[in-house]
Amino acid sequence: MRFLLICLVALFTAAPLQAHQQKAAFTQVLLNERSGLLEVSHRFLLHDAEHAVKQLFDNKADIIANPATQQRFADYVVSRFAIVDDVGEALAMSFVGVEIDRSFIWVYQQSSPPKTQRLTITHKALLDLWPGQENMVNVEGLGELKTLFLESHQQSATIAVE
Amino acid sequence: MRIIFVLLSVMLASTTQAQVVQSKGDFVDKFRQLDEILPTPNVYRNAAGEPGHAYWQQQVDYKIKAVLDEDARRLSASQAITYHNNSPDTLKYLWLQLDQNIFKNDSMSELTNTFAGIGRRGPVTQNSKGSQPAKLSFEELRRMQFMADHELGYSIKNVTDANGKPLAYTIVGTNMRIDLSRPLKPGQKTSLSMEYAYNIVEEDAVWARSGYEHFPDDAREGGNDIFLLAQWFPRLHAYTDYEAWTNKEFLGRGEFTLEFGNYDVSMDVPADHVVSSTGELQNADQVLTSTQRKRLKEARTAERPVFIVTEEEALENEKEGTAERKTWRFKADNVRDFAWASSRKFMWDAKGYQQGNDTIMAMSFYPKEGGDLWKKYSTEAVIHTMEVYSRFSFDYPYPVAQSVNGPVGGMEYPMITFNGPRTELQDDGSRTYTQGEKRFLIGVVIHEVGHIYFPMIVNSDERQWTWMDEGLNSFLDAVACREWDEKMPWGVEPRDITGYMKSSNQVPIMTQSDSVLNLGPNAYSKPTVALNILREVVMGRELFDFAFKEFSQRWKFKRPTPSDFFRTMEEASGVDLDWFWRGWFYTTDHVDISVDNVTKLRLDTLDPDIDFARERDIENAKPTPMFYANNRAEGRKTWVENNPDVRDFYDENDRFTVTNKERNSYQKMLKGLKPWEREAVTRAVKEDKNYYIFEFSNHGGLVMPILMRLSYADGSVEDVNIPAEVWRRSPKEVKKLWVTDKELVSLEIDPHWETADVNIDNNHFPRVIQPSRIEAFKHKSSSRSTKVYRDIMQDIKTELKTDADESDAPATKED
Repeated sequence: MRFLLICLVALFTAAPLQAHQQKAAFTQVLLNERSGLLEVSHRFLLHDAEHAVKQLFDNKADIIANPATQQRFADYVVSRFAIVDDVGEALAMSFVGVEIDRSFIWVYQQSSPPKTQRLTITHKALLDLWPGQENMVNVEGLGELKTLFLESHQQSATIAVE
Repeated sequence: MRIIFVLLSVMLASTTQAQVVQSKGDFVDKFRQLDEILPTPNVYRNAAGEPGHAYWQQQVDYKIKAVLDEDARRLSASQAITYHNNSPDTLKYLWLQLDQNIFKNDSMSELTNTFAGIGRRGPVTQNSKGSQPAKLSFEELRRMQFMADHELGYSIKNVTDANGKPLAYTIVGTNMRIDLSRPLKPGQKTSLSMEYAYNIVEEDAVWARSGYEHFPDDAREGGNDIFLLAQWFPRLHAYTDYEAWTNKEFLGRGEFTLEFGNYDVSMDVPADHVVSSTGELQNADQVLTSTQRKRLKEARTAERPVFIVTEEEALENEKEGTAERKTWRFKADNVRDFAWASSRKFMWDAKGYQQGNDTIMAMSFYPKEGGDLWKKYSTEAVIHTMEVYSRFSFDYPYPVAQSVNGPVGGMEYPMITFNGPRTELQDDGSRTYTQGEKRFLIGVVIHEVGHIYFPMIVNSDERQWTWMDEGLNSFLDAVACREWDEKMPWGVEPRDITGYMKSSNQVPIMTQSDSVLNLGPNAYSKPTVALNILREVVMGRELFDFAFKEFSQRWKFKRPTPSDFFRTMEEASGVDLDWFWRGWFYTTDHVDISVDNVTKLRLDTLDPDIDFARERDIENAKPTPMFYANNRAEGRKTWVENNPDVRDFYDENDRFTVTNKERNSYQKMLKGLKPWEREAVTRAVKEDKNYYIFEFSNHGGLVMPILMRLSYADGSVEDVNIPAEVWRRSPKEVKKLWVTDKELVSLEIDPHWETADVNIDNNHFPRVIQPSRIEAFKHKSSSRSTKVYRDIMQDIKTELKTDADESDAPATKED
């Protein structure tokens, strides 16, 4: 029998269970043929982000009205997202911007395209914040579309690309 | 034995092969009727999607006496059940749902709740990976400890028949079978009674749909609780014509399906509690003060909600408890479930909603933590929901509709809903809320009150099909939300689900609730978008609304299945929708229609005087070969140019010159035509229309209408919708002839993004470069120095300069 250390993680007050949809983020990783850049667009429900910033930063954080809070949220997302290639090197992502569009907040990043054919994508944003968060990632433009479904127990996954 | 087994296998195999299969070529019949998929119509559910002439459903009446022990957080009750067997079957036993047993440590739900598993309900856990230790959240620890410290699940005793004779029963997880002393024949009823008790779970610790919430900081020593009681009594499973007993184990996700019946419920609670419940209060004289009763009466006709229990009274109430008790009694007729809430923290507001000659009491119950957000919007949102939903379905049939604030984010029961949004206490003692929380409150109240219609009245089976209540309700809640305030970003747009639709982990909407992956997009967003597309694109509002209302009214207080919905929508509208249900509900195809090419054609007039000249024009329009252009540039002349004196017939006539030979042949041809043929040619030549062939291909698999926007050289624009049936014989690619007087400049499909087309790069001819989301953002950012980023609040103070000011001002100074 192998003994594993169980680490008690200080998480935050959990939001109650919803009978309706919440806590679903969507990310598109797209190789843009025209620019040759790998574009990453993260979409979060604004209401999720609104609660997240209160737990992450401070109770008065207002993501709708305050661009500084939007930026902090974007920094948080960026710090929890990574694409690592076969040889263990993370793609150098540059931050493009953050914007609110209807009931969503979008965070944008970009990088040079990957050089290897296996990528490990990690998307931890909000996963460690509350139960039930689902982060879906579609990888497009690198061969057939691939989808990753990331949850608290599985925050990264490896895929083959072309 | 072995021979029998082999024979049986052969029979099963041939049954599987009995489906209709295209076994040659690759043709896919996207319009094949749902013959093999939908159940065979019968006397209970007919082919129109209506209750059949022999439709039946059971009735179950309950008389319950409940006692809430606040200190022990324990509920004890006794109940008498009357079961009416309206089915054509004789029943030897009855099945009941024991939902509280899901919290037992050995429940199937607990035992199959994987550590760090997929789709896990409950707190965060995380597997170890590499050097990283496994993770367990405080929440998981709290849940484990709560479940270890409390004996959860029902304790049941004294199950007897009407004569007090004990009945045998067997508990199977969250189900309980009671064996009747004698078989219950069709048309008969039987009565039984039982006593039960259970420890109420702490909602925040256990992750339930009900339970208590503790407020340790209240002025009262030891704090206060809000109790939300739901799935709180042993409830009869539905016995149906399509599944018999619907006794699939409760695993937590697939919710409930129940029988309608009449309830008479008494709750014995601390005397300072306020109770909100399914049903109508029967003993206001005993539990309310005369002032409260007077306020309730005023509320019936009030312009804005009236407080029955004011904030001050609620605050006073929550300061201390009492040892005294009061019993509240409620009756509810024709409901499929019963829930209630109890706390000394509640303030209570109410306002009458006039529906024809009836007054329905819309009411809200909330603690101080709900604050102004609840005072302003909860009850008004309840009324708004009834106004909108009734327009689409039927008049609200119950005397009350309520919204209660507690620990549950959002949950629905007949006449009562639990909703979670709260205000934030600020350092200065005030309570504020964000724009998002406001949207959430209005949105969640509308959604949950909407559920009183679907599935509490249109009684679909939530255990099997989450989309039937969540999908239909989300579609309608988007209508109600948008009709609340256009400025709020409500609703789901088709483009919001394209990421899900093209993802590789989409599962069909027609998937049993406990097995669905991505419940939100699958059971809420995708059905919502599908219904919106039906309403706005495929059927049009008039036909859709008529059919949807017909479905609602046919199945009001009855039990529809998906096929009843599919059939009614089709039968009532006269629009074949089998292709739509097949594509959107039974497959994981997505929409990606491409316009690949546009070819312009011109009618061959056969008249040489017209056709030869046109051919000459075409020839002349070709670019001059560069050889000649370069020779000319060099000043080089041709032999013909250098020898103008040598000329012949062919210098004046090219190969397009028409002779009488062609003209005679043309006249002869015309004479040979039948009169109608001659007329057709003559008219076509005179009209000289443009003929275009559009080539479309389908990359996503889902067949959909082709919504075309045609832009012409004269600046005009024409929108034309080609019905989806255009794909019926060639689902992968199709050509369409378009005849017009005008000169076409461009063709765009789905210009308003109405069909959830996942790829708009191929929606234009000629191609238009579609910026990616990031490119569009960069473009916007680069123009940010302009309007949006002006500090207008400051700039507006600027004084207007006159010419005189200009001359006075120093030349170099700038404002």
